[in-house]
Amino acid sequence: MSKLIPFDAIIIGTELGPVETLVSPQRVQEYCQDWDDANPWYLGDSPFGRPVAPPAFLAGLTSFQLLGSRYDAWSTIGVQTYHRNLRPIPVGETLVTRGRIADKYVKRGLEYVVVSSTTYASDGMPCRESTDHILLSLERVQQ
Amino acid sequence: MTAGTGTAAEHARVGDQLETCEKVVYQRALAEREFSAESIHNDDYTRRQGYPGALVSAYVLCGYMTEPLVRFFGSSWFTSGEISLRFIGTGVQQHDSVRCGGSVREIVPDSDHLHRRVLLDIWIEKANGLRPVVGTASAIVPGSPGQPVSSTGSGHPGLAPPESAK
Repeated sequence: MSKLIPFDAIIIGTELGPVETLVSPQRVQEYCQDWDDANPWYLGDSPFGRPVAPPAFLAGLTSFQLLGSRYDAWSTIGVQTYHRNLRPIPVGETLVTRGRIADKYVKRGLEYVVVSSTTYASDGMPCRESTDHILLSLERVQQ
Repeated sequence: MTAGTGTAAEHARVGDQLETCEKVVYQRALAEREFSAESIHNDDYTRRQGYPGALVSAYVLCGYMTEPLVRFFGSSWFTSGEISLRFIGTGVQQHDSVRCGGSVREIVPDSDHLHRRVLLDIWIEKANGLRPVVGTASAIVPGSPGQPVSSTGSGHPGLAPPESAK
């Protein structure tokens, strides 16, 4: 069982966030370096008329940021992830992600929490929906 | 890669293979941060728990997997792409060599019947053949499912070349 995130204290339906993220050219460049992804759409021209963020930019990580806004989430890890892209994210945009604890469960003695979230652009329009199943710890619950 | 026409997805047939993408895994946080003694990102701790080493985060692997999907679907991926991944087994460790792949499972009409959704099984495979990441991906492309295609994928960015061309 997790020592950092008390499973019993997690309440399904709890609102998380908002978390604000600036999609700066520097962060996108860092992404391209770290992921070794040189797609010119991310730093130059794209079919959308300007550079756009890599579709997986911060995907998944936002769930941990949301969970981390209430708990110490550094020891957790994603075991299942779902993302739905709704529209491209222009580089330079400031994103706001809001989420909630959608579920929690114990499977084979391990504790999980499900975080659902939506990421919005600065005009308030949604650009990505996500659901992440997060393992809280490798420590098993005492039977 | 093109904006809306001529993507591999528009010419895809069931069974087509995604053009694979090879990576050496790198997570900046694992390289730069110290993690607590009970963290999934701590080498000693995860080894004691039976893993080969600290686990690389899911978002890193999701990023790797989307690269060949962007090549395959083009701009459609940004407006209609859906990805679902499960992270299983002993995970992926820093500096592992991995290969991201996939194959077209199904092509179905979208709700407007003017477009179709191309669905793929996708995976990340380690050098030892294990697949610690498996899932599905899909996006909407123009055309109806029964529309004839002029090619099995050869020459389209995002699709693996046919066996005869290898």
